[in-house]
Amino acid sequence: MALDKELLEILVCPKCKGDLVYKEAEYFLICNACKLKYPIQDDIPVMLIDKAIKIDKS
Amino acid sequence: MDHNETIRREFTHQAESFGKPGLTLSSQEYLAWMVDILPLNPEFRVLDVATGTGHLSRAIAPHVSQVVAIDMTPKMLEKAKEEAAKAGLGNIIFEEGDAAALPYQDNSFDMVVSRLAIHHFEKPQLQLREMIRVCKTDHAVGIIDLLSPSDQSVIETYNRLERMRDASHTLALTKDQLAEAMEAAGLSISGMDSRDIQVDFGLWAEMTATDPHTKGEISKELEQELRGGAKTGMRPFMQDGKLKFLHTWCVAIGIKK
Repeated sequence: MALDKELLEILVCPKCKGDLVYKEAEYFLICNACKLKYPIQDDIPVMLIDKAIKIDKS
Repeated sequence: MDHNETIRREFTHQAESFGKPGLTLSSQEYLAWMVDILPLNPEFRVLDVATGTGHLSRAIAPHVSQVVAIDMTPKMLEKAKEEAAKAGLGNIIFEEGDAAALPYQDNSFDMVVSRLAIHHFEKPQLQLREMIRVCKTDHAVGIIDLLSPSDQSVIETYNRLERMRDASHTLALTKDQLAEAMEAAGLSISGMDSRDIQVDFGLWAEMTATDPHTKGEISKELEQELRGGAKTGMRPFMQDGKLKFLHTWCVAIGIKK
């Protein structure tokens, strides 16, 4: 099941409150400013800063 | 241990017992009271902060357009999702998140509610400010929580006993303190309604899987009060041979200025 479109419009990074990029195929919401990936598990976005994955700068 | 970890640990092992019959948190009577007081509207998108297993979300869902239910304990959300599906409610969306750092734009919701959560927060101002930030201006934030007794002499004992039973309990506020906290965070109180709730001591301790020794220590203090000993703030009584006590729950509505 895809994420609710209207919900995607209001979802932001919990850390910087900036926009997220939805990578549907990878099940991630990405904050480019914080370089964090928020996983989507069983259709539930995991919007916790301490569970986000750091994106490699390389 | 970090307090968020304490919350996750406590609620991971409480998730299964949240649906058990006889618990005050799943009482349809009390949920109906809350739904009746909250100014719901069929057009509304409502955020339920620290939804737990989603009792309030399911009670609200039939009266609004959409409920977004957020919690930081995956096990709770798993149960909430399962229960929503069982109830045939398709308008609840679940998210894992921290009430102190909500993942939503400002002014995103027509109403924000939170039930039985404030007394688990170390600094409730943080969570209140976040709830207000994501709520639309002139719209309502509804806080439902346990209240501490207003009698200053028992506040400490009351909260100590609650913490013995559940380590994630920080502090229940008095009615005045709750109103002050909501006002300080940026709300204008439009109504507060409270009622006493009878709690079965055995079920209460079972829900949190409180160890038998601690359970015994708490009941000893309640029984001493029953025999005329020091007041605990729990207002214990016996009914049908069972030890019971009273909680006070409050529904407080504040409007975002």
